[in-house]
Amino acid sequence: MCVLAGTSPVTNSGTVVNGSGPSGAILNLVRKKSVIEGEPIGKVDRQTGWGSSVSFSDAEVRIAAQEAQLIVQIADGTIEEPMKELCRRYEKHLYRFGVQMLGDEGLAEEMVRESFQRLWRSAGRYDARRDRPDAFLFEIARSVAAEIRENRPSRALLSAEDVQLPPLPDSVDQILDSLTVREALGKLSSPHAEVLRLALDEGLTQSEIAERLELPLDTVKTRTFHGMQALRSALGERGGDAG
Amino acid sequence: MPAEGQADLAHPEAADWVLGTLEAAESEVFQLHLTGCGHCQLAVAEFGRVGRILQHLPPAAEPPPDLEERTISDVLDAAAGDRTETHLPRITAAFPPAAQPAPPGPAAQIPLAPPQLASYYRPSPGTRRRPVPWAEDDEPVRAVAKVYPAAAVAVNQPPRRRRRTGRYASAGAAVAVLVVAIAFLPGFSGNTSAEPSVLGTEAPVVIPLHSAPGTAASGQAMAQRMPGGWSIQLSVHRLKPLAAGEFYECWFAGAGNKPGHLVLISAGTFSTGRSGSASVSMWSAANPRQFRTVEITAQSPGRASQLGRVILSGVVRT
Repeated sequence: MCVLAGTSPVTNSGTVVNGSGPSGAILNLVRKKSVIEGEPIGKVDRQTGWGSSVSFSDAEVRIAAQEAQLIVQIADGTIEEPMKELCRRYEKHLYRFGVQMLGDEGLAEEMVRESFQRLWRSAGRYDARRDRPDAFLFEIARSVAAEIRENRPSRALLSAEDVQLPPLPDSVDQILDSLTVREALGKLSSPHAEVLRLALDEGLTQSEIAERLELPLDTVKTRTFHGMQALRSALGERGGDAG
Repeated sequence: MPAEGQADLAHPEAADWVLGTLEAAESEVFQLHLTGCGHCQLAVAEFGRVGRILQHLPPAAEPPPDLEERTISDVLDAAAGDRTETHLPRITAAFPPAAQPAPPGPAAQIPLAPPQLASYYRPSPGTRRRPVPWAEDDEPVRAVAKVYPAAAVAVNQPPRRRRRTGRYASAGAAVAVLVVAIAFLPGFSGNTSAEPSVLGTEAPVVIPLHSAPGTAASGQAMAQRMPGGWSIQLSVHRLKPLAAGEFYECWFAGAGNKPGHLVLISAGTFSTGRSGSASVSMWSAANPRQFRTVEITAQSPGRASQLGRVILSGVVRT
């Protein structure tokens, strides 16, 4: 479950990213076999996880191996510390996924709690040669979210009952991609984050952003470009072909 | 097919074009430029995936600070329950008969399953819960109805009317349930071959309870099937203090429950005091696999026939 862990700062534009952030991980992917068996990581096929086209750093491999080991410990009956560590690393990302998929913070909490319970119950079935640790956990979360969506309270606590929920992602990779970009967006320096926020959340054009921020138009364009480069790099580090 | 080029050398408009933030005229100009610029083609291809993801980004929501603690606590509780399940303590006769000694042998041994110990009966990993048909579950209710007709009213009447008859029927039903439960015990029923197997052998139903966004209240209900109904162990945390005279009530809601068409069975009332926390034992005839939504409402005595506002809610997973 390394993918979200320690997304590296992107520095090609100088100040795009603020610091390196917590080690807690966003999906630094390591593809199974390589993690456990110590094979050269080399190239990995995005679809199957078994081919090869993306390299992973030693740190990413190490994090994935650690997390696989944590699941093995849980399966062996050492629960508290490994579970705390996994919870520390993934709680926030699971929660965000839950809020997005369920449109309700309370239900998102429920999803997180149930997901870790199921992680404990299914740890014995975890196969590090077959499953990425992060994909294993988010596959559980996706399943829990689907169940909660089907069984929403008959009398909703809030008007969100009528809210249109987004479709559940078809694959865990989609979940991990979106969480990776969310994490990277949070690490952008404020000038870069601001232009992207105005473009994405408020739907402003570059000219309108320049006017709002009282900046030259070229500066806004450059910041947008570098911001997008940073997000793209974060995705690339996650192990996908970012194109 | 992406042209040869370097994305880093692309025009800055490549990102704006992907995001759709160029002015219309500028967008047309860039589109023309794109047909002949390998660098920009590569940048657009690379940014395209980011752009698609940005359209469906999860919110930057932060989990409550105590979520980790509660999550770990859930897991540890469940794990503790599993460990204990394999060597359950047993007691001889939960209600020691005064005049008639308990018959010897396994039939006299009752698995320890009072509500406060319900958490001992957690399913082992991978254990499939035994499906319980409604007819089978209805048996204790019908047995109660024979003993105390008000209980039948409480269960069989349309929900609205049931609420109005309510308090007397509930009190009567509770007494009747106790009578029937005691009657099921070998020492009291006189039937020494009574099947104690139902006691605590079925995995409890665990229902996490959550509150509306922006509030910190949480809880969990655990329902254990027993002769005569369901034993409910309810724990709540950080409920807000209620006004004087108000109290909380626990409900099981069935399918189709909605304002104007209430399908509800109460499990009882409770209060929390200043701490906002409570751990209480309750009883209900509602099968949580049929009445799958648990709601905690805030009630006031003068409006007991009206449902109060919902404070916590949770749904039984299938």
